[in-house]
Formats: sequence, structure tokens, C-alpha cells
Amino acid sequence: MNPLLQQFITEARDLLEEAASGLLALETSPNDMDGVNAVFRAAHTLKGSTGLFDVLPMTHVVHAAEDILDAVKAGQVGIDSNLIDMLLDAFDQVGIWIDELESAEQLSKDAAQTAKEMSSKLRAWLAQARAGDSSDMLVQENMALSSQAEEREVVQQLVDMTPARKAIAWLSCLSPAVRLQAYQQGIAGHKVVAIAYTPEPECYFKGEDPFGLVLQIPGLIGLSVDNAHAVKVDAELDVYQANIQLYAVASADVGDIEHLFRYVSEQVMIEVPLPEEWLIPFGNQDNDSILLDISEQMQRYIEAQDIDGLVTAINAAKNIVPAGSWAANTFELMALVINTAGNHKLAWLHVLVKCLVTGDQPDWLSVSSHVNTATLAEEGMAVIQSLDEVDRESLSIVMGLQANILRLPIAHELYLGRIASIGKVIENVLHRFGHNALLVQWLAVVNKSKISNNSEGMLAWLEQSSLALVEPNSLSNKSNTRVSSFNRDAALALVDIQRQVLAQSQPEEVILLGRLRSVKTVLTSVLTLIGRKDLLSALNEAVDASAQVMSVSELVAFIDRLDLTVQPIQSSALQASTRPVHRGDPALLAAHAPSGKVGASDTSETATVHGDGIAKTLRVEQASIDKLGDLIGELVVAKNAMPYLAQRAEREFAVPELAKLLKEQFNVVDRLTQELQSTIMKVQMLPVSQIFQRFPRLVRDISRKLGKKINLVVEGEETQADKTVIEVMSDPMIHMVRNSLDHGIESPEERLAAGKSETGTIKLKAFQEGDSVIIEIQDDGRGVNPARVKQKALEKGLITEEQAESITDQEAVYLIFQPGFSTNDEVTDLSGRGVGMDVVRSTIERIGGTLRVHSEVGKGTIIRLSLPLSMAVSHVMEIELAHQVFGVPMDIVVETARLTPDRIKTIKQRETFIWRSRLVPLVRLRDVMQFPAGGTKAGGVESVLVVRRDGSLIGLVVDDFRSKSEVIMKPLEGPLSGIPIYAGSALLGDGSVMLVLNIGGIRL
Amino acid sequence: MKKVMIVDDAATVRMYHGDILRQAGYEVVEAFNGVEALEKVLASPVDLMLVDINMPLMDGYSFLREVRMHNDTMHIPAIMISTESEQSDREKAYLNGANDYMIKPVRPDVLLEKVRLMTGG
Amino acid sequence: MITFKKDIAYLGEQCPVEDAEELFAWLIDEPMRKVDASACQEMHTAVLQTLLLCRPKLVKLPQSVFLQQALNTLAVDI
Repeated sequence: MNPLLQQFITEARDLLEEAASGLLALETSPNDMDGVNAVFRAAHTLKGSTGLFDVLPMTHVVHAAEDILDAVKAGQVGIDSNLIDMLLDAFDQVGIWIDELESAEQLSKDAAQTAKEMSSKLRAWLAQARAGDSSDMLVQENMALSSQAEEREVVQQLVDMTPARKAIAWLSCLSPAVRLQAYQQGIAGHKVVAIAYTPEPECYFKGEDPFGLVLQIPGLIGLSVDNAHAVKVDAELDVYQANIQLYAVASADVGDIEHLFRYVSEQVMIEVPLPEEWLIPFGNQDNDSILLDISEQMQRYIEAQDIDGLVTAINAAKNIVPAGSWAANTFELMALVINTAGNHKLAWLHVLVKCLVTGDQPDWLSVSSHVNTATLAEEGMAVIQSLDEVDRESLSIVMGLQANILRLPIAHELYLGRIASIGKVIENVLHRFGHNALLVQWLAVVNKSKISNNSEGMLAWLEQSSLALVEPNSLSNKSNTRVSSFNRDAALALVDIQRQVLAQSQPEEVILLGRLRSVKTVLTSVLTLIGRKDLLSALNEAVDASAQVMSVSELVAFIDRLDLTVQPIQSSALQASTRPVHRGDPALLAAHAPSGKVGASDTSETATVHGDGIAKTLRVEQASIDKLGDLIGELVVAKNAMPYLAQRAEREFAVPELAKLLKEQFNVVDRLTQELQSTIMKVQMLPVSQIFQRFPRLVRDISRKLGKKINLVVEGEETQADKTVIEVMSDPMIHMVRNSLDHGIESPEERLAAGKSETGTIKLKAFQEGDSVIIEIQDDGRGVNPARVKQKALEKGLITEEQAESITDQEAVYLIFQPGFSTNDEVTDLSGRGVGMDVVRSTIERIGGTLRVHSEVGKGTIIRLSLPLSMAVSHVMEIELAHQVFGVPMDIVVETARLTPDRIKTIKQRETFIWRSRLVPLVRLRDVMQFPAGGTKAGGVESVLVVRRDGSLIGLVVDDFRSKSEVIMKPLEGPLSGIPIYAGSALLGDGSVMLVLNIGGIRL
Repeated sequence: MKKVMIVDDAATVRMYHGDILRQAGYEVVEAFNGVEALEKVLASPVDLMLVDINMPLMDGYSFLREVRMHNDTMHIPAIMISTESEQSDREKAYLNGANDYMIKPVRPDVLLEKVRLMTGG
Repeated sequence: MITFKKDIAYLGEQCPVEDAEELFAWLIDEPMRKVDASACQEMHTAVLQTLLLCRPKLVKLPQSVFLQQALNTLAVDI
């Protein structure tokens, strides 16, 4: 995607976020003017940027929103929840379009319609709010009018920004016969309009008949119709879904055609092509090399303006090429041009001959700017014929504008600034065109204005000069002949003025410095212009010397010594350019001050320049970061292979020295890798506010729908976590908050009846704890009723009656995370869409997090999520099972134990053991993983890994324990990805792959 | 190399204008509001400023007035670029120190021509 | 009102929007079927669209120049 669009998408999302959160804040404090301003500015900035792309519908909607916010800002209308709803909807829609832009780089077809409806709604609201209680009808009408006017304005803006003319690609969709007619009408001086009409798919249901409409076009010359897009033609096809594209040519006024199509204006393109644009060859192209010779021959005739010769050549060539071919048709068009075209004949023939060989569409734009000079000038475009003319025109435009600015009143404190900047603008313009004579004159005039506090001189000079400039022969020629003599006089005059400036001042320090500098600027310009750059360093030194003694004397002395007649202008200019550091002008040696610090100040300036250009933060594509992360992951694996190599060097190849060196080197690489890891981890960290910021809106919308009163409290949103964690957690968080809204918080009546305050509270809290990020979702609602949950789980067959009796209340709460569980009898339209809390739990476990719930009936529920700070590195415990190695995430491992058979008891048909006076169920991993049962070990001792799962403990029977290790875990791909017992895979140092188990995914 | 400062709170606009200028060989300095722009231009003057109007903290008008009152920067030509198209907006820009006024979105060729003229190269 | 005879559909003077469905069903039933448009003076876009999608051969063209232009991508088999 083009970087500008990418930038726009990113920025637009930021602005939308800003606008939305600003609006939400306004709901609670509607009189916060800073808040209003912030939202307004977000809309305004967004609108400005939309103008850069072909997203008119977006501009529309944002503009309408901006106008409302502007009215709010001006105190014309007030803010209420309805308005906020409406604006949020509008920004949401823009967000949808931004998504479309990101995926398709364009807006969907119905965007225009949506935009129209939405902006009409907004404008209607605004009109109504402004008008107070005037009748709705009137408002609607006004609204429609203003929306049309605005549309025209926006369209006009777009027209203004489109380059002079664009090639109309679809003209070739009209049949050759119709194009020929169009050309003939056009060349005869009739206005010829081309129309492309793509009816929307539902148009037949709206009673529209697009073909009928096209037939009503006044002055219709011809048309062409085709299917808009290819479809499979079978019995399934709905013929009442419009799939048709119509093109038409008419000799009529654009206005009449626009009127006819006024109800479907978004579906229609109307163009007024130049006559020659209708000349488009058609037919098969063959790459006969003879065409090359023919076209070269024809080019020569055209360049020689030998029409007769060309006609002969065309007639001869016609017989060579196949009838109906591209070439044959091109020849026909050329013959047509020869017979019909006026003074553009040769240029047109040139264009046609070119496409003979290339087979490209004729490039009519290359001639149209040429031919239509007069029209373009009328449109105020810069006309390029010769540099001199452009030069003159640009100058007179800029001068005219600056003169107009000078005529405006000015505040005293801005006077000097205005004079200086206008002075600089004209100076630069003159400089650009090398009008050195005028330039010197101008600088003198500007300086006078500065001293006299009166800009009339400048104004008079500008008026005079711009007048002279538009009359080609009056000033520029004359001044050219006088350049050399004028230069010196004017330069002397200017230098003299500088002397006066200096003499006049008895200023304080600050002003003295400023004055010195301005005199320096002028003298630098003068010296440069008359080709005496060699004197510049001496000037600098004189200025520095003056500044040092806080007196103008040094600079005045420099001016007094200045003799501009010594060197001929040309040769000194040459010297200056070939020997830029030369300072030894004999006339100025006396003015030399110690030159050491000149060099020093140069460097510091360069440094500032560089410092300026560098941005402090950098937006990087996510893909690059991901790639970097992957590479680091691979690096870690490669690094981990080094100890093995060292071992082999020692044992297999018996070179202990090399082994030692390898180990040393390993330590270095290890440290660097760790640093790399922690750096990339920091880069990937995002604040949890990325998740939290969605909730004010969500909670507001849902609570309004449910008729509940809810106060959302957010804490610790600045806590950071890995980007992947943040991204993955977004949906589960929404689900949990929705769950609290739906099932947790009671209705206001229910709360009052229970002796609680009417308004419920949902609290989102994030903080860091060791290597984990903790997120808590707390509500003060009705809590989870363990008895009801058990009952429900029993009914749904999720647990057996025995289990129902044995599990504690605390454990029962976790049943809500079982697949297929829903505590509320009625399924609301908000949650209960098939995605249950079980998905929440599995998602959290998949990223190596854990979830705990604490609930008290009548008081509320806290869900506490413990998430890894980073997903980059996981700590796992390696275990052995049927001669394979598996990983178990360290953060759930409580202890390893070796159990003698007497410690294992069977209670209610389940193996359990007592561990620190708690009854812990045993799970044989071989059974779970469907491996064959292992042979009994010596003494029947079992290796048991005690892990935490859903807030309770279980013991996993494994074959053996191995070491703890750090791995880079990757999610599984392919068929394995669907298996819940695996959290992911990790590469080990010896190159083998280890599967990491997801204990939460094990069925018990 | 001529140095042009772009003052706009919209990153997209800065990038759009910036790319046009950089491609034409200008050095570009960016600032996202009047305060930042003022700091930058006072630290190191530029040859031309393209200034947006509506910006947080300090808008384009205030920024230009400040620039026009500082000795080191008062001479720097400025083009105001805004979405507003009313004549009164234009005039207000000139009153506050702009030397030209353009309406967003600007055409690259028109912008470049103006920049070339106003920087003298 | 369209009259279907053997392998040729004879379009009526007016071809309203309802004709599209019937014509479509008849045309896709048997790919070689043809259409006689000579009587047709007015044709709804949906009918036109159906012809352009199914692309039957035309045995007779309509009188109207613009209708002819609209159908000129279809093969003619007179």
C-alpha cells in the first residue's frame, strides 16, 4: 500500500479514537469546552486529511460532524446523549470505511449512499437544533439544500485538485461507430457529453429502469450496454440484481444531463471530452515489423508537414495491413483527421502515428494542453510556453498578492514582520529568476520602509513592477541592458542605507543584536548579488566583532572600508565559486578579525540542522517487528546449539581448547541474545489502555440498551504488556465485561430491593506482578450462585451427581467456564451468541495465562487474569512421557513429588493423594494423551507434577522430570492447532521440537 | 539546500506535503503544532513555512504572529494552508502574517511552484 | 409479452420488467435457443441485462437504432 494511505489509515484511527473517547467524556461533563475543542479538532484534522484521497463520502460525513461540533463550540447548540449517539455512529461509520480502505484501498460502492444519509441526518439535526422549534418540513428542505450546496463545494474542491485533464479511460467502451459520430459532432463545434452509468444492484426493486433513463438523454447520439461484471450464468442467478453498465454520448448541456440523472448522481460519471479524444483505434494488433518502417516514414512526412506525401503513404499502407486490424483502423482515423481537423491536424496525426506501433491508446493529453493554451489561461492555470513568460506571470502574481497584503491594515507589533517577510518573498522570487538588478532596488525599498515605518514605497514599487512585468517589453529588457552599471550604484545605495540604519540606533543590547543581524542579512545579499562572496567572511567577522564590543562601530568601519569598485564582477564571482574559502581580499585585510570562531559556529549550525530533521519516535510496520522477533527466536535456538557443539568438540573430536573457546563465545552470544530479547520485548509492549479504552463506549451502549445504571472504573491502564497479549486479550475482555453487564449487575429495581445503590460498578484494574500482568474484572452484582451453577451443570450433563456433591462452592464457580454453560435462562441479544466463557478461558490459557474467579452471592464477582508479560520467552518444565519430551508451563507448576504407592488412595473411583493436607486428584498423563500404560517402576514410585488448574490442584503422573528451560513458544499450525491439550511448540537447542502442554485443555 | 518547515497537526498532511517537497530536493522540518514549530524555527531558521490554522496548543495565527515579532524569524515567508475557503479566512491569514494562502488539498505542482518562488530556488 | 415457439422467443412490443425472469428461465434451459427482437419497441433494463448475460443469437434485430446499439454485442443469425 502506498505509504501516504498507510499513514492516513493509522492517523485516522488515532483521531477517531480521540474523538470517540472525547465524546464519551463530554457525556458526563457536557460543558467542558476543552473537551469539545479536542473532539472538534480531531474531526477537523481528519477532514483535512481525507481531502488527499478519493474518499468523498468520508469527507462528507466528517464535515457534517465537524459543523455540528463547530456549532457546539460556538455555543449555538447544546450537547446531549442523542447527539453523542449520532456523532459516535458517524465516527464508527468512518472507522468502517477506514477498514475498507485498509483491505481494498477504496470505499465500497454503497459508501456514497451511506454518507448521504448520514450527513443528511447530522445536518438535519443541526438545522433543527439551531432553528429551535421551526417545522420539521422546512428543516428537512433546508437541510437538503445545504447538503447539496456542500456537496457541490466538495466536488469543486476535488475538481480543483485534479490535474488539468485526465484521460477518460472508458470512452473506448463506446462502439467505434458511436465514437466516430461523437468526433464528428465535436469537430463541428457541438458540445459532446459522455456519460457512464453503473446502476446499483437493487435499482430494479426501486422501480428504476436505467436503460429507459439513458434513452431519455436529450440529444442522444449513441449508446453501448454491457454487463457490469462477469457472473456465472445458471439457474441460481438472480436476474433482478442489476448487473449492467451503460455508456452514452449526447450533444447536450451538462446541466440538463445532470438534471436527468439527479436521483442517481453517484452512479453516473459525466465528462466533456475534447473532439480528438474520441479518436481511439480498435482491432487486433499484430507486431508486424513493417509497421515500424511505415510509422517512421509517416513521422517524417508529418514533421515535414507534407500532407500529400502522408496521404499517399497511408493509401499504400492500408493495402498491407489486415482489414479491421488496429493498424488499418489507425490509418482510417488518420485519413479522417486529414479531412476534418483544422490547425491541430499535424499534432493529432503525430499522436495517432505514435500509437500505431505501441498499440497504446492515443495520448491526447500531450496535445490538449498545447492546443488549449488560451482556455487554460482563462482558468488561471500557469501557462508554460517559454520560461520568460512564466517568469513574468509568476512574478506578477506574487507581486500582486504581496501588494494586496500590504494594503491590509496591520497591528503595530506585526509591522516589521510583515515588511520583512514580504521583503523576503519578493527577494526570493526575484532571485529565482535572476532579476538581480530589480532585486537590489527592492532591498533598498524594503529597508526604507523598515526605517520609515511606512510601507508605501514598497507598495508603489510592487505596483509599478508588476505592471511592467505584464507588458513584456517594458521593463525586463531594459533592465537587462543596464544590469552591470545599475548593480554597482544600487549596491552602493543599499550599503549606504545600512550605514544609516546602524548610525541611527542607540539601542539596548537585544535590539542591537537584531539590528546587526538584519544589516548583515542585507549586506550578505548585496555582496552575493554583485558577485563579491569573497567579502562575506570579512563581513561575518566584522559583525561578530561588533557584537562582542556591543557597539556598531566595527561594522560601520567595515562598511566604510568597503570598496566595491576594486574587482570586476565576473572574475570575482568565478573566484568565489572555485575557491570558496578564500578570504584574502587585499582591500579587506584590515578588517580581518581573528577567524577561529567562524569555523566553530559553522559546525554547531550544521549540528542543529541535523538535530532538527530527526524524529524522536518512529512508526514501524508490525510485520517488520514480527520478523525481527522470529529472527531473534531463531537466533536463540542457534545459540542454544553451541553448548552441544562444545560438548562434541570435547568428546568426539577431543579438542578441549576449542570446546573452551566455544563456551566462552557462547557466553558472549548468550548475553547479546538476551539483550536483544529484552529490547524487542520492550518495543512490543503496549499499555493495556489499548484494551481498556474500548470499554467506556461498550459499557455505555450496552447499559443503555439493558436499562441498567453502571459506573465504570478503570485503574492502571498504563500497565504494559506484550502486544500479542494485548491483541489476544481484547475479545475475551469484552466477553467478560459483557458477562458482568448481562448477568452480574442487576437491574436498578433489583439492586434497590437488595439494599444496594441503584448504580452498579464495574471495575477494570491492571497491574504488574513479577513476570505477569494481572487484569481484574470486578463487579458488585449478584455474584455467581454455586448451587444454581451446579444444578445447571448437572442438567446439561456437564457433571455427574457424584461430582456435584463433591465439588466445593468455590470450584463450582469455575463451571461457568465449561463449554456449553450459560447461567441465565433467557439469552439476551448481547451475550449468549454461542461464544461462552469457555472460549475466554481457552484463549487465556493458550497464551500461557491463568484465570481465577472469586464470587460471593449478592456481593459480586472478581475475575483475575494472570497473563505473561511477554510471549517471547516462556519458562517450561520439561517432562518425559513415553520416551518423548514435553513442556509444562512453569507458572502453573506448584511442586514436583515422588509418590510411593501407599500414598495413592482411590476415593470415589478416582486416584487421589494427600498433599499438604489437601486431597489432590491424580491424572495419569499417559492415559490422557492415549499413550500405552508404562511399566511399573522400581518400588512403584510415581513422578507427580503438582499443578494449579482452575483454582484447584491436580497431580499429573509423568514418566520423569527433566530440567526447566527457557523456550520461544510458537502457536501450533496445521492439524495440531485444533488440539486443545497443546499450547504450542518450541525448538530445543539440539534442533528437536518440543510440544508444550496446555493443562487447562486436558479433559478430566 | 533550502529548508521548509511544515506545521500541521495531521501527520498525513505533513507526510503529503513533506514528500512533495523532499522529492523536489528540499530539506523538510516538521512540527505538529505552533509551540513545537516556534521552538524549532527559533533554534534554527528555515527558508519557508507551510502553516496549518487549526492546531492544538497554539494555532497557526498565533504562531505566525509570534514569528513576525521575533527578530530572527520575522522575515521568513509563510504560506497558510487550510481547509477553509472563505475570503475572510484568507484575509485573516494575511493579517496575521501569511504571505500566501492555499486551500487543502493542495495540488503538488501548484505547491511546488509557490515554494520555488518563495524560497528563490 | 414474450411468445416462445420451438427454439425462438418472440419479444413483444413492450418487454416489461416481469419478462426478464421468464425469458431467463427459458434461455438457460437450452443454450442454443434464439431470440427475435423485431417487434420490440421498449425493453426494460432487466430484460436487456438478461439478453446480455445469456447471449442468445438474434434472428431479427429491433427497429430502434438505440436498441440495436444496446444489443450489438450479440451475434446475429438471420
